[in-house]
Amino acid sequence: MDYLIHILILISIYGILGLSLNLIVGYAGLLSITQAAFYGIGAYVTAILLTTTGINFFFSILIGMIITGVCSLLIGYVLSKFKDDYYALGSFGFNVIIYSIFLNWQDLTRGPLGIPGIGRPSLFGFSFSDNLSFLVLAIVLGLIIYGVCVYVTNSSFGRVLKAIREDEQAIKVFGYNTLWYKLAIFVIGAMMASVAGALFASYITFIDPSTFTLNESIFLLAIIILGGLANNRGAVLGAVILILLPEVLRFVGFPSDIAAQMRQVVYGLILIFLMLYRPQGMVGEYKL
Amino acid sequence: MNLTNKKTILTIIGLITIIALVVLILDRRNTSDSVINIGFIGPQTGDLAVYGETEKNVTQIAVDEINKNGGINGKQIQVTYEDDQCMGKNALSAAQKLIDIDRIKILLVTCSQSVLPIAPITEKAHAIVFASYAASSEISDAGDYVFRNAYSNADISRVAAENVIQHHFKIAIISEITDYAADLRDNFKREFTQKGGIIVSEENFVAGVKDFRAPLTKIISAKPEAIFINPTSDATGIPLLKQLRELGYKGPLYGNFLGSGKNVQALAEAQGMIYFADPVAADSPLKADLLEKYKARYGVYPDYEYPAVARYDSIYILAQAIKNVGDDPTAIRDYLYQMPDFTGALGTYRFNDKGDITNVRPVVNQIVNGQAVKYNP
Repeated sequence: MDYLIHILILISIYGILGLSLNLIVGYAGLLSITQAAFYGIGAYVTAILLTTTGINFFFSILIGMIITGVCSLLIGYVLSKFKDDYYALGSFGFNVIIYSIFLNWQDLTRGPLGIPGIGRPSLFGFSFSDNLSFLVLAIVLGLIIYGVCVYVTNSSFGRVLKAIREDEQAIKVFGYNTLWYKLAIFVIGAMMASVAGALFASYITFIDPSTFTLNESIFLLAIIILGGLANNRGAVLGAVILILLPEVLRFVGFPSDIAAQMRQVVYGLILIFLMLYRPQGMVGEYKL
Repeated sequence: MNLTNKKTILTIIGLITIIALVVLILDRRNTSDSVINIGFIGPQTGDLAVYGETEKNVTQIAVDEINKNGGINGKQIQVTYEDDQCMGKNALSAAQKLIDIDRIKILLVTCSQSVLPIAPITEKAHAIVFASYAASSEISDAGDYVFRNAYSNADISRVAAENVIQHHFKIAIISEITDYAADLRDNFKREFTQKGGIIVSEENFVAGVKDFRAPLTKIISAKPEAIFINPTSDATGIPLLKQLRELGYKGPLYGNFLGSGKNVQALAEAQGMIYFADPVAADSPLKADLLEKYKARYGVYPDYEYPAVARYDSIYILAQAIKNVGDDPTAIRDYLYQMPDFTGALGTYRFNDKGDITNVRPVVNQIVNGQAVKYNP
């Protein structure tokens, strides 16, 4: 059963990441390919604080959220100067920058050596050291974030975001300062991703920069496009599919000489067919 | 609730049910008593696949040899291969699957980035982890069930520091930023400065760089007595060496395992370089034999000798352990700690109390006239 619990924990973490990116890409229409950077900042803050100061995990989440919030505010402000395709390219650049900081600021992050021995959370003397309790924690945090996403997207704030996505000029005419709306959702999304990062660091107990590359950002984008943009359930569904699929493919029984390669090919093919027949994603309400 | 929402929820429930059923069905599968199951976790796709492929191929050679000779105590060995691309998350998924579903208690793991995250769960599950190429010095303390016949960077860097300090006090070091080179660098710096040495200049570069003139000019201008070069592969090591000489540096040169490569030894720029490498550079008939078997079966020699040779030995070490104490992982663990000297393709060695190999000293060689010769100061 440990295997199933492990997969469910990963789904919870990636579900949070999908939800967070969906706010930015799906609702506000900002094609950001830098979410793995915020995920990484959250993971590194927690990893560094837990291994060096022994501070409580839940405080480290908060500190991670604050640091990620500040970083994403600066990045989001710079990115607000870009539009459409250029926005995507600009955001991609930030992912590369943050990744090289993880890799090169070796006094702090230990660079390519990574940080081993990250502890599990504990609260009021209860330790989430076994996987089942960690799963419960991940699901609870996931549900809280899901709730926040539903609240944000159903509020008047969410409606303005959708209006920005559809026609920014028009909503500006009505006197809305669209910059603040875009910045706000970018920062909220980034802070949510940092929570996922904290969970990831504490669960895997070892992080290194290779987890937070551009590839990871593209994977997160794939989650929400596959699940369906501008739909919170879609983001979670995308995470379920993209995490489950490679695991299920372990059991297909390819001959061992080509199993690993076939797994990747089949994974890719399934994604291509899904996109071919469901271009709006499983439950999408908006197309890029 | 509209139709789409219902569909979504049904799809999610459907998917979870399917995976749960798969897991439950496989969960009931009895492990056959006539087979010894071993799991393998290594990169078979992605940038680092070359290491995983080498280890996988050589594992298959060793396992087939043992099985052909009647197996171990009449049982055949069966290996289940999983791909992790050297990423912690994937390694953890693979390890959970092998331990939980396949009920495997012996895991062969390639990368340091995989050994470190899976160690907590393998310790808990009392599963043996056997690494043959994971050099990170952190692995020594990863757990009781973790063994490796890989060379810990700590060992090589100690020997390197001992040698360099005999001749030079002020040196410069240039390193690639990879887990291997950075770990070696940090260990070397600590050992060297503890012995009274000074690092007058230190430069780092990322994998894939081809132009090193700027950092090299900087370290040469710091006027070190000697330079230690610490790349991770020929791809960076060879241009690094060439450009260092192009810039007019004629002083003493030290290097890591790079010097053990035949194409590096052939370079005019590498002559005189003293290098510190894992002991596989020493030639043993067993090793030569293995490399020929590899060539015969796969058409080429292994890209990297160390993982091939060490992984081959690891299978025979495990086979010897199982033959003596059976396939209970705790018994195997106890056996390995007490194991008498093992002679394999890598040399003659045993495990210390941290599960690292001892009795084998790193090689200290100098490149002279295109050949590696034992260095005698």
